[in-house]
Amino acid sequence: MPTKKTIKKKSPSSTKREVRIKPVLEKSKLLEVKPVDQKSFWAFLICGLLFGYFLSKTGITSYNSVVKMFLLMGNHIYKAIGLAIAIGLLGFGFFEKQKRGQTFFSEEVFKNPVEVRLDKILGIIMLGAGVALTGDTLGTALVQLGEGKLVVVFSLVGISLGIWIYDKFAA
Amino acid sequence: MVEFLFLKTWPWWLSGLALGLTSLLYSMWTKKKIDLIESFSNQGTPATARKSIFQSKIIWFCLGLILGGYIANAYDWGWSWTYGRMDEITSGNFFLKCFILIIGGVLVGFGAKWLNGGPGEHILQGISFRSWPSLIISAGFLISGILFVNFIYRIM
Repeated sequence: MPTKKTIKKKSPSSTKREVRIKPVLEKSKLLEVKPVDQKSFWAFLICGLLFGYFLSKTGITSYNSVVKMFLLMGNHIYKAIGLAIAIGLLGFGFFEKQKRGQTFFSEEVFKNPVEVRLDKILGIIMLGAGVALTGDTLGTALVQLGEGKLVVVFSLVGISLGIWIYDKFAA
Repeated sequence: MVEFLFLKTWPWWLSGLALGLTSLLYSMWTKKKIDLIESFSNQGTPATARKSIFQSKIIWFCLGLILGGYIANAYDWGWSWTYGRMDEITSGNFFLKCFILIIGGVLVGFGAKWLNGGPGEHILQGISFRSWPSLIISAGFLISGILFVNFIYRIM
């Protein structure tokens, strides 16, 4: 059985390497919380629950208030989202500076999400038109489903269809 | 108190504070951006190529969103087919309403996949990470939304 032998030979060498690297890293990883993605779903579930609850409490999930916002008749949502952005800016700035060798956030977070090209203006216009028509975004459609608005099923179907069309024809 | 917790919307400063802190908590706990496109686009890929749905943990985030929406209105909750002022435009025509919603949904999905993130990702989180494309995207999104809604409700 040659295969078993090769596996046995390989495994101790790899563990040795890890042992060599570990003590160097541990000092710098004092503040770091380990990434949860592969281990537990509780972080995602609890954050989603809080997010859905607060989105619903802000009032973005009702079609009337979205329309009111875009008609410039009330500034309730503008104020709420503006405050959320301000807190995000302050918080991320604060925790980014407090590093002892490590940041709180992985560097992937700070990368630019989009490569900038001129034709993406069309995408922006499409996004605005879609939100103006449905009153949904990706997140609030799900929250609306939880609120019991059954019509949203159709816009969820539409969103999946749109992403499928992009993958099939435009990518 | 029960109505305040489970039915009514909150004043802007309280909900804005809570939203900002939650978006901080999400990125600190999971070390990721909010990325809902991943969960939606997983459905389109062929069955052999995709991971199982529960392997990418973002599906739990979606489940949490639905549950959160339920809890926020738990005091007086029920299924309904009405959709606010959308019923005014379509004057009670159900199929027209569904057609509008599907067309709008396709636009949202296509645009969000193209821009690699919906308005939630770019406005709530993108600006606070100081990425200037997100700033442009959210400004453009606002302008085009205002133009389209004014076209639908004021001109038509």
